[in-house]
Amino acid sequence: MKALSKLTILVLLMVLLTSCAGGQTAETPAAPTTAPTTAPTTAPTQAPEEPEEPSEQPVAGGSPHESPMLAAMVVSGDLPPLEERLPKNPAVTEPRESIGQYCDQIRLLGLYEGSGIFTQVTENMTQGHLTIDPDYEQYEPNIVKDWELSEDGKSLTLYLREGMKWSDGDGFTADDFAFWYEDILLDPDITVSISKQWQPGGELMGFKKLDDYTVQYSFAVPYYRATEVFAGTLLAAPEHYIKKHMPKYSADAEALVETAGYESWQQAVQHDTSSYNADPVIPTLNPWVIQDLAAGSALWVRNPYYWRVDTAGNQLPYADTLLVLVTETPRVTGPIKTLAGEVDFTDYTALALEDYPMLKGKETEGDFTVNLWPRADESTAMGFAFSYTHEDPVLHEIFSDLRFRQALSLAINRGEISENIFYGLAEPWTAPVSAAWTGYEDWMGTYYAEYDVERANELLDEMGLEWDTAHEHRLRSDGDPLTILGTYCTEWLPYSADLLDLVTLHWRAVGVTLEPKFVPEETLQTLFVANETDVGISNSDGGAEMQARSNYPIRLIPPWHWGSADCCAMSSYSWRQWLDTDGAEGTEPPEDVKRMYALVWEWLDEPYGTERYRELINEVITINVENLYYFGTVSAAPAVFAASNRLVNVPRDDGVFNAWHLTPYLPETWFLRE
Amino acid sequence: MLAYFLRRVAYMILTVWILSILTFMLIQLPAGDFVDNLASSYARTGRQLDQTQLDNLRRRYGLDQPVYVQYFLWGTNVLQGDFGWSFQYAQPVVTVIGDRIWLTAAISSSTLLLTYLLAIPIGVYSATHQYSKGDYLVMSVGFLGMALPSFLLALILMYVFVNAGISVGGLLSPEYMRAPWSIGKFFNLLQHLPLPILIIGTAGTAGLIRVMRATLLDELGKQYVITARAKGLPETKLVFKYPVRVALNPIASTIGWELPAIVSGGIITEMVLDLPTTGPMLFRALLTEDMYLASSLLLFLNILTVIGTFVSDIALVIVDPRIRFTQREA
Repeated sequence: MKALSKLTILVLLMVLLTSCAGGQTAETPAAPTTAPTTAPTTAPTQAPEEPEEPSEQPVAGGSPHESPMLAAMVVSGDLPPLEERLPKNPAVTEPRESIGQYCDQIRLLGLYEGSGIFTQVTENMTQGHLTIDPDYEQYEPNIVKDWELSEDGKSLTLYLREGMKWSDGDGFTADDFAFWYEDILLDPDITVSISKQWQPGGELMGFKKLDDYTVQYSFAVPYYRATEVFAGTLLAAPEHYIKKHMPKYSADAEALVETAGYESWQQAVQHDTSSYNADPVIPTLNPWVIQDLAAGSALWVRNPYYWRVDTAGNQLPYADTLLVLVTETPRVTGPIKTLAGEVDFTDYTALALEDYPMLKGKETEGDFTVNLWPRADESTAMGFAFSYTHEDPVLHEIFSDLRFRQALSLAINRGEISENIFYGLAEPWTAPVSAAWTGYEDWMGTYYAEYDVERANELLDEMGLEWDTAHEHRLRSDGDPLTILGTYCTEWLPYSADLLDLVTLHWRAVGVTLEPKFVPEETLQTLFVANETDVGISNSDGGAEMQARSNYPIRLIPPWHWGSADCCAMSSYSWRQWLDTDGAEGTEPPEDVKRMYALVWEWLDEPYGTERYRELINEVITINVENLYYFGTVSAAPAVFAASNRLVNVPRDDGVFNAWHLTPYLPETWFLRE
Repeated sequence: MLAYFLRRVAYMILTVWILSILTFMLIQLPAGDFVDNLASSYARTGRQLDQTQLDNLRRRYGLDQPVYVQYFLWGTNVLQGDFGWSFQYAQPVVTVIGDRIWLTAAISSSTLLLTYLLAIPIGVYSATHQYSKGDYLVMSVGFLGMALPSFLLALILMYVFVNAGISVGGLLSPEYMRAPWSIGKFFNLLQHLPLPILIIGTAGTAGLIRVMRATLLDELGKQYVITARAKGLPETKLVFKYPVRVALNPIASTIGWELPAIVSGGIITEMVLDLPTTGPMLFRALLTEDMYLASSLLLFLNILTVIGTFVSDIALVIVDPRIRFTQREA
């Protein structure tokens, strides 16, 4: 029995050990027997050496400037030769590091999201008329060869590339634009309602085909941000393909639609115009075309008619195929597949800051480098915007008082948050925009970001919020303890719960009780629209300045997120309603909010880069910052990316991350060295 | 007997029908619908869908119609073999499920087989050698197995395997995923299979061992066992001829409920291991309110449960003659 009780004790100990290890992150195991060496390796992270320019691929027939896979098809007669596939003026790109070699396959990790499979690479592959340079400052031609916005801002002309083709070989011409405008945009059964972006001044923009390769859009009022608005979209659709599904143009359209399983031809057309990344048959302009989505993986194959070449004249992309391993649990699979070397590029959706130390230690073993990319799109990792339209009059009065917001901002120990959650990598930051914005001034970033509990208490005392007898809570004017329900839905930010726990502790020191509560997105949306939230809590992703101009700066006017009441809207939706409907609905905001709103629209209409442009945005940011309507805690956590050492032309320690666009990094120029 | 059979079938059909209505409604209970879900995930990656685009999408997916209309349309289509369209995968539901069902069935049946193959002999041993060292060992490991969540075990084992150089996660390594079948691919599959089968299989074993042990102990204490032993019957024959058969009763009567587990058992473990099975697919379909996919999968679950219960009843009648006798008497 003695031996047996020892056995049971041992077993119990094992149980205890394994259950303790599951503490913070489930990924770190407790099994000590196979513990890998976690001592940091001395080898520094090196970018892979520059390979020499490869000699021409020797192939019988076909051009040396195309992939051997395509060259073979040219030889066998299945494809026209390269000169016929490329436009007369293809887009020319200089790769980051070096001219590449054609390689077989790049493997990526993807997750299910929305209505398809999401990877940073394939997500941002969808081409727009223009693209933006890696510094996010300037627009460059992409699908179009050139563009021109008239002096008065009332017309935008796009010049297409002569000889450019869709992925099935059909010509890409002004007719595709005309088709989109007349048959898709204007058909109320296909486009149920038209976005405001195409109706500047309240009137639908006009369209004119000037010749086979030139189109022009005209606007009722000066539309100076037309460039930003048109940049990321494509207002053309493959007419030769879609017309097969339209009874107006094709006699067997109805039959075709029926056999394919659609309910109506309108549904078929809607599918055609939006599911090109899920349906292999739909022609696209992307560098890769999806071939199939078998269970667990997606395969993309190169587009033989892709219209971009590198500076040596080689047709891009370099990689023949992309294999996307799909996972339900990216945070688990990401580090595992990266360690095992089964993927070549892992993006921020699969890697968190907690994985960074472990991966860093395994870099030489796994033949990859893991890097931290600062974020260009996000200014703060978590910010607070109180409900300024709260229905409880006591809370309304408290939240509307600037001193309250100042006090709560001063009470947050940002250094502690940075040390505990972000490995010391985050800086204190309160402004809703990053320092890169035009109109940003140095005082804005850390306005009221000091840690000063004394001053915070002073401000709250000034406001008349008295302590209770036990000196634990401050009391509202009706005698109840001051409590704020902190509902949030940011489950995709893994640090949310921990950060809010720290803030709860900080605010307790000044007598304010925060009760963080996670709710699912749709539930939070319902609460928000019903004006039942106390405070909006979210990070400040909002895009860099140029993206903000294509729509509007979401972190600078109520509700400090998108205008429709969605999941992560922050505060005061009814103020926005009042402003949008000019007083017909909603509650009236204070004067400076009205001014903020008016200035934002004026700024959006102002041409980029003028002095007035800078003045306008400067004032908007100033009003926001001075009033602390939406104040932040610490700067955004860097995004973690890992790439195989054999992958060339991918940014490593010089990468900057903008969640909305990876296109400046041109995945079509990535290749695997032999 | 025939009347009983027909009555059961009629009840089964009625049950399935009512359940399908209930599940269809329940799926839509959480606030918002698939389009709202889509808008949220788009908003997170920087694309905003304004109200107009949301309306477009709702029209396209048929979500702007009242619930009963949607159910009626879907129901009538199901009877014709058309299970609707999956919003997430942009493919017909039949294709989406069909891709995964063979794999799901394969994994589920092998884990089921493993579970019963392990549990029954171990349970018998544990009962016949009560309070021996082996019995204590089995009990401790059993408690450990029941207490440890299977996904945690999966995470630990995945990390261990990766460090040992064995490929884990999913069913095949990337290089073999789309390659034609070959020796290499077969061995790669064999590399990936043990982990899921081991984890999901052992999860159910512990509980089953304890049930087997308990019922067998009950039987072994009865008079007829002592009599048979006194009369000189060899121990093995003694145990297996009658007591084990009786102890199998509870197991046989619950075996039918394992049928729905083929579709949705061990979801979390399958998610962690990245297995392309229907369990994680159902989970995601419910989360994103991909209505027709979720309703179809739940319909399968309903049917399997109902059939499973029926199968259990039949199995019990076969295994336990006493039921047949009491029925005949009545």
